[in-house]
Amino acid sequence: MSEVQWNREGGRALSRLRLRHLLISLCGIALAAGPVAGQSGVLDAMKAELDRSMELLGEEEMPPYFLSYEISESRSASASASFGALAGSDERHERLLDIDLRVGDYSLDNTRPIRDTFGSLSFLRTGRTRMPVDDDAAAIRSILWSETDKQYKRALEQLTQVKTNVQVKVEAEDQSDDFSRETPSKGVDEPRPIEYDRAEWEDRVRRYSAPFAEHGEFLRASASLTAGTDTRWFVNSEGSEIQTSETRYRLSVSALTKADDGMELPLYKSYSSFTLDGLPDDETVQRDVRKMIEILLALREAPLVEPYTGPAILSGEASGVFFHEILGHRLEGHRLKEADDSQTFRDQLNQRVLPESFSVHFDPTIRTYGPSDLVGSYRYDNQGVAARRVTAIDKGILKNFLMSRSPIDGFPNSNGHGRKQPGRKPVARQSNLIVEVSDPLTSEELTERFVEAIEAAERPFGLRIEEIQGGFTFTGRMMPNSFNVTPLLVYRVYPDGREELVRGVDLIGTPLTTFSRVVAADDTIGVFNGFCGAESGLVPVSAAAPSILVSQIEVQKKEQSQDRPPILPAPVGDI
Amino acid sequence: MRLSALPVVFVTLSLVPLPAVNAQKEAELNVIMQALRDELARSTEQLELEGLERPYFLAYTVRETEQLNAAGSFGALLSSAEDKSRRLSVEVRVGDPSFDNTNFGSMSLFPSSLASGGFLPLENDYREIRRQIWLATDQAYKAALESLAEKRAVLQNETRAEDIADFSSEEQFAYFDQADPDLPSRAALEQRVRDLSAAFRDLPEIFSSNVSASAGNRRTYYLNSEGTAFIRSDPTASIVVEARTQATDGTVLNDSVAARGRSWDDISDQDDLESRIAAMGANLTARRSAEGLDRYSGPVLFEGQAAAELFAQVLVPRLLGNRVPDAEPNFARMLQQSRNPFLDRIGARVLPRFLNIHDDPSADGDGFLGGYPVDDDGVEARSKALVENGILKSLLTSRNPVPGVEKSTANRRGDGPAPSNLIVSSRSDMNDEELHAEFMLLVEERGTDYGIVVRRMGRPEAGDGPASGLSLLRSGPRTGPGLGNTSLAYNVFPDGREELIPKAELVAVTEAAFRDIVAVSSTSTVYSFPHTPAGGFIPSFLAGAFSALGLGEVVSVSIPDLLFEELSLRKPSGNVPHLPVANHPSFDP
Repeated sequence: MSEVQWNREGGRALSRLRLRHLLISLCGIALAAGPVAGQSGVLDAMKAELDRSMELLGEEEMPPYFLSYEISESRSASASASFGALAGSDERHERLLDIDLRVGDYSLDNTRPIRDTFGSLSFLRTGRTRMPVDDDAAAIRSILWSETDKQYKRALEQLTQVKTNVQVKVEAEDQSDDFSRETPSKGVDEPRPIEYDRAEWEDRVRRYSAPFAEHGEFLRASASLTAGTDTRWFVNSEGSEIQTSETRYRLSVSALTKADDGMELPLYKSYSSFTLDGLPDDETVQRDVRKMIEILLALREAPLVEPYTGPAILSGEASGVFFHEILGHRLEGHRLKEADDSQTFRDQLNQRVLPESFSVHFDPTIRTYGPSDLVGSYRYDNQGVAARRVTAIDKGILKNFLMSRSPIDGFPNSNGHGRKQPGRKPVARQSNLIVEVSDPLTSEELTERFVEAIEAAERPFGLRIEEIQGGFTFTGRMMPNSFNVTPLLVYRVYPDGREELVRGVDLIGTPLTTFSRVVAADDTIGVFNGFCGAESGLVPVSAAAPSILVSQIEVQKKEQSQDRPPILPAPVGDI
Repeated sequence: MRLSALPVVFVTLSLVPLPAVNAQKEAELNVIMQALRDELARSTEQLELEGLERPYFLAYTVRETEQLNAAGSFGALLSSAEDKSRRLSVEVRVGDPSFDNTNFGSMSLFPSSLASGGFLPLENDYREIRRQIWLATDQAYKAALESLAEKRAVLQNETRAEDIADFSSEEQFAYFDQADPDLPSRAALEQRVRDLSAAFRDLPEIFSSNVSASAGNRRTYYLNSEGTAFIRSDPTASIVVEARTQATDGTVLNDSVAARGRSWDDISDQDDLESRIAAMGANLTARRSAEGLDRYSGPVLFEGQAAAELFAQVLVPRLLGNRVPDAEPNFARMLQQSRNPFLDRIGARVLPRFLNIHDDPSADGDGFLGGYPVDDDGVEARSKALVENGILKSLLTSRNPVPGVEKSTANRRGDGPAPSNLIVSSRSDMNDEELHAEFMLLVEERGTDYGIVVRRMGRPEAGDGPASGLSLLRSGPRTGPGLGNTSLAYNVFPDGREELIPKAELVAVTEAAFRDIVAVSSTSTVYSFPHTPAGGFIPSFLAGAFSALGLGEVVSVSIPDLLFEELSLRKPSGNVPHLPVANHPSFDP
């Protein structure tokens, strides 16, 4: 999850973006039958303290020009089991505070990044500020007051540094403002409760993980169920007042085995929904678990893939991750402002980057796609800006970027994509990535094209990439501008239609070249729900995309554990 | 970087099947113990990587924790949580007791041996527990083989830093405590922190405050290949109240009060805590406008809790037999810098002749909370003299010997040695008045107008002292700025008048200062605190994290008031933050 990696040579922070398919239990959260109605008391307390702060700080020599408070509440319940035995079961409840206080003005303020510094220890100063979980105005305001004072003093220090930095460095390439002007938002959702039956959940995760215990080959196998409600209260000095509430349920099953040569072979299956009923029934899960066991046992015996270049088909889920890593992260607006970002797409605006039939949207306003819920949905982003659909690629032409309230040249406004996890600063992040193709082939037609491509490339086989664990991409200039996507399930496909499971593949490449080789898509849409980690923390995201044919991809051997399988066989028997 | 600071042995042992020590009692349905025993037996007989050494020692520890935590501020609940876990750790030794895979500081960044453990299921599922033990043992064995190979390679051309054995030989021991202490309800903790923190609604001059409560039990299951086995319960409960404000000149002022016990009932006296909070509030309020101390050198009297805190911060880390591991030469030099100087002072005078220190794990009641019947190596606990008539006799050790202390003193707590109940005793028969008279005599001799009495110290904290950013990364012994500042101290005049000091920093107090203690009181104070394993090579910021997670072991100190002839105090160094721009919202006129 750490998006910032320290490079040993220079100690310089690099952006490392990673999409996690694994269930990541976000911070601490919990449910419980707490009070549900009347929570706008929180909003009132925030508003009162915000007004008082603006008034009193307004009398200072350098008053803040902007102030916002966001309180994020997490209530969650989760249960997990390993090989049929309960491993954890808990309920959490917490609220965290984020303050954005700005001095200076919209064009130049204390938040401007200091250029050309070799890292700093300032990350030590960022901490999570817990807020009362009781709706107690005096207690809430007491913490808002002391944190506002801290932030104000810090902002004054920062502004002094920023002004010096601007004077001593060359003129920035991007001359845009530090903060965009936006229309205030107002909206209040009713808080949503979670449905949770602890005993039943514990029983379910036991049952889902138990079948793995029948095989000595598995080193890890677990199932977990998590329910969480995220409630957010947001006020700012421009007049925004927002209360939103969203519930998410997630079931995931994961298992790991080792091939005899030491290679670790993981497999995951997860299901996300806004409602408990939206999760699959028992029978479906049990069937999927049996399928996982079969696949993993087959993977242990599967041949290792050699480095390969040639045509491939990516399933819908896999191509969703592929677009998320290769395209999505490079459309996040703030990167085009960072001096050390490679800014791949900066000069591609209004140029063709994909075949004409392809369009790519980011749409947080839709909650479902086909039968699937999309976890990357929201009504307002973390800067209180109303969510909206952004068409990034229209008929193959790059048209737009994802914008937070940090403007870039030619894009002076937010389009509702300023996102973060509590405790971080918001930056432009993805929401629901939707790939649409105007003239999709059928799956059969796509397979035919695939076979033609294999023959045209004079390759003995092509690769079909079915499931993906996740991936990461480097967008900085300090590292090759590349991506790495880790498939879990890859088949060799021979021209005669024969398929063979293989293991040990990583999909690699550079973004523009890879994009130019996307040839066609079919009409089967796969949806991927997961968490994406980058500089503003983990945020839930979705990707919906068809299967695509790529005329040439490159795979390398997967990094491999050097540990042998266990010396002794798994213990058997009871007391 | 990996540091193996594990326990001990001299006799060449080979893995032998377990004798049936009290086996019947244990087998009375202890699924965890049974699974440990069965997997230990299998590993003992069969675990071997072809052509490589087999383990000569294997030990399993399972820590079963059940803990409730709640925190509140200003009358409202901030958080509450209930945690249950069972953590397994595996110790595998290859080589022989004189030279094995431990006591080696590897340069590799993420040594695989740190992963030799895992979590067990929360329920008594024998098969799953055994599966986890099996995997952890396998990993630990492979990591041990790698460490031993690396250590041999490094030492091929070097002389060992400490030419002593890696593992001490100890008597077999068994102890089974099946007690199942009752825990309070989560709601009880939540209400307690709400009520206690509401006291600050009447304290307008306190800027922020926090109350945290915890109650829980940790049960340790231990089994080793020498036949030692135990089950031990360590119930604990605590409430800590912290408050912060700023003096009128901006100086940050902190204070805290705490109640600790073995059970929630032990700390149930709400009136007592409320009156201590009120007193702390009154003190902080008075400190806000008190005249600051500029610089002082002269006699200083540490009373009650302050004596215990000073002792804990300065001398206690020196009493721990933490060994400097062998390492690749450059790294070894670095490690040597944090070597405990007391390792070379056994037999030397470290305190005045009238003082003794012993560690007594059997002390219980009367405020003593650090005791235990058996340590984490399975060695039977016993009382031992550390300082007699001012002479250092021994250090506290685990089964990992240090020069001069070749056997365990039964003080392994967690990963390394820690005290149980440290008792500082003296031949002094001075009552409080006589001590005070002695103090004033020193003041007169020294020619200062007043002496300083310290009644409470603060914890060393980030943000206090000059190098807060860097000190986070500093490891090793604390001196000077790593020490807490005073939170309750007074100038005492010969006529008995006392003048409050808002905050003062102790200048360069090291263990040497303790040799020059002039006098002590005949009465002692017992004070308990969580000991963080910073005495060795754990950076202090990590130690802080340990403590925050409740991983520290509770240590008690019994100590008389201490009179020092000459110590220096000064105004705290570093920048002073401005006062808040706005008033507290609840107290805004």
